[in-house]
Amino acid sequence: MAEAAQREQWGSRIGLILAMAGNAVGLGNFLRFPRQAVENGGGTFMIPYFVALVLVGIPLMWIEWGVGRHGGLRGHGSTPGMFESLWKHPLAKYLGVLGLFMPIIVLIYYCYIESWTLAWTWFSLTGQTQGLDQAGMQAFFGSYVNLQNGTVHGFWTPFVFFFVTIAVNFFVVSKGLTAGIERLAKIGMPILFIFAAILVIRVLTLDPQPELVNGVATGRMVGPMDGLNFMYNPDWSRITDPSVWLAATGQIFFTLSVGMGSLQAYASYLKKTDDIALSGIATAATNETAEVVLGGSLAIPAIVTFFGVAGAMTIASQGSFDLGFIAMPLVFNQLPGGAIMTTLAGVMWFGLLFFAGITSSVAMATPALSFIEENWGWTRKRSAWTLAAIAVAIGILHIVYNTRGFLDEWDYWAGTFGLVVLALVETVLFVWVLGPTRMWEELHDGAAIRIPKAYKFIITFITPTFLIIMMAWWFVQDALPTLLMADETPERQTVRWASRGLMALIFVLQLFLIRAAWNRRRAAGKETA
Amino acid sequence: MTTGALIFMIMAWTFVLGLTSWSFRKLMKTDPSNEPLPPPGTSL
Repeated sequence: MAEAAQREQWGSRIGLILAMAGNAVGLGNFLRFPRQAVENGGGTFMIPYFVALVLVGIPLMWIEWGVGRHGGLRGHGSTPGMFESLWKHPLAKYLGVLGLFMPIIVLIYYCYIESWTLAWTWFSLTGQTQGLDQAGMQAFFGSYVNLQNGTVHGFWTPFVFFFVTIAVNFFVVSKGLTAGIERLAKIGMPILFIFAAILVIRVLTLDPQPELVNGVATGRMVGPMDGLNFMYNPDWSRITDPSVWLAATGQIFFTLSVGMGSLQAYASYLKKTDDIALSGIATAATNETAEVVLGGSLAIPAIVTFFGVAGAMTIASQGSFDLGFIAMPLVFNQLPGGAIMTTLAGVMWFGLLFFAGITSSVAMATPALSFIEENWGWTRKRSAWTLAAIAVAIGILHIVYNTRGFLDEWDYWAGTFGLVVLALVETVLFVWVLGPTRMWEELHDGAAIRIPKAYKFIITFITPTFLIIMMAWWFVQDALPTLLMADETPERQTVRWASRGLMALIFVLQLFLIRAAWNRRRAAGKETA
Repeated sequence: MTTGALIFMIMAWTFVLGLTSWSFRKLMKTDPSNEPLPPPGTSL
């Protein structure tokens, strides 16, 4: 407990909420959510979405804040120590590897995607995407992400933006909790919301345009209200489809950044008297505002206005990146107001995506930094820049092999399936091993509200049940086909195996680091839990 | 917009904005340190 006194603390409650919300608000709020909604029943998608928020999202938010604060008060800023403080068993610290592995794996490829948003902010500012038609925009994007197709960009362009992104991220985290992460959240989050609000107003006040289907005018006019209609029109036939419920639960998972290890790391800097009950809800609510109100009113209404409903369906089915990096710049090219408006809209769109990304990625770096600092006594700066060097070295592989499935492997095993595994493990430890009564007391220490009693039952039984069903479903539906790599070319299979091998190596290395850390603790006579 | 879409949009926005404004209003009212708990049985 003596170590806990030396740990940094959040400078203000609003700083904490903004940093936590910044962690949750990411690229998925603006790119993934609208696609999920239109592909899973429109308005009816919102029913399982909010059910999942209430039964899984908010409970997991409390659990992660609780696990983090419980561990932080005992001097642990990452899950190996946090889990051991919950379960006095030699295995507990090794289970905690999940909360080190997942954020570091996701951080590396997420920074690469984040670097695209920085690049496109620059391209928008310098007018490089202005005047391009659909084929031109696709070539522009393809040239950037596929190094072998360097028709537009120089070979080094993606590397430069990736290095700058990594440098900015690790500069922020090297400054520490209040001077780095909290300050970034206080600046970045308001900018994100202001940019998003301006764009939403602009999009929703667009004049209807003649609808084109395959380049032929239908004689109908379509506008942003048709886009909102496309987003929210209920398809009742989908409400009983289990895949829709799982898609909604998955979206809640991704959007709140639960199961990652980063929320726990942030919560480890809380005091025993700090509220987590109300702050957890405020964080989730802020994220939901960014997602439903702002994210849901931007891309789809804008794209429907200029491409029609059929065009929007095609774009949505092509993926989130096509939506954000090809379709949206095309929309900005057609905005009234000429080049100035196109530039402004592009800078605001990609700028808000960059802030959404960086406020999440700095959170992902935090568990590993805490682990290094606490166990090896390194300074924040030294830990941060060492981790930056590792991220650059591995990130280069993502840039080079991105289009051959290297990134997809990491995204699936760490960024999708792994999140549910960590969430289930921490739920079992915090609720069942610690005990429902202790869990309930932990959540109410310093609480500004009393959580409704029904949540004790929900957290104890409903949330873990949801997680088990989701994990089993994903394992059968996605994990097995992904593992077996059906329909992949031999070249892509080789790259994917190499990608898996590197992930496995990092996982095993982290297990050894945990073992070494505990040996050091034992040698120094420190309490380990 | 169809009535169904409008209803779903209004409901979604009301829930999200309502939860956000309620939680932030409550946060602003409470002293960050050592706030007393509301009486047992008080719901959200």
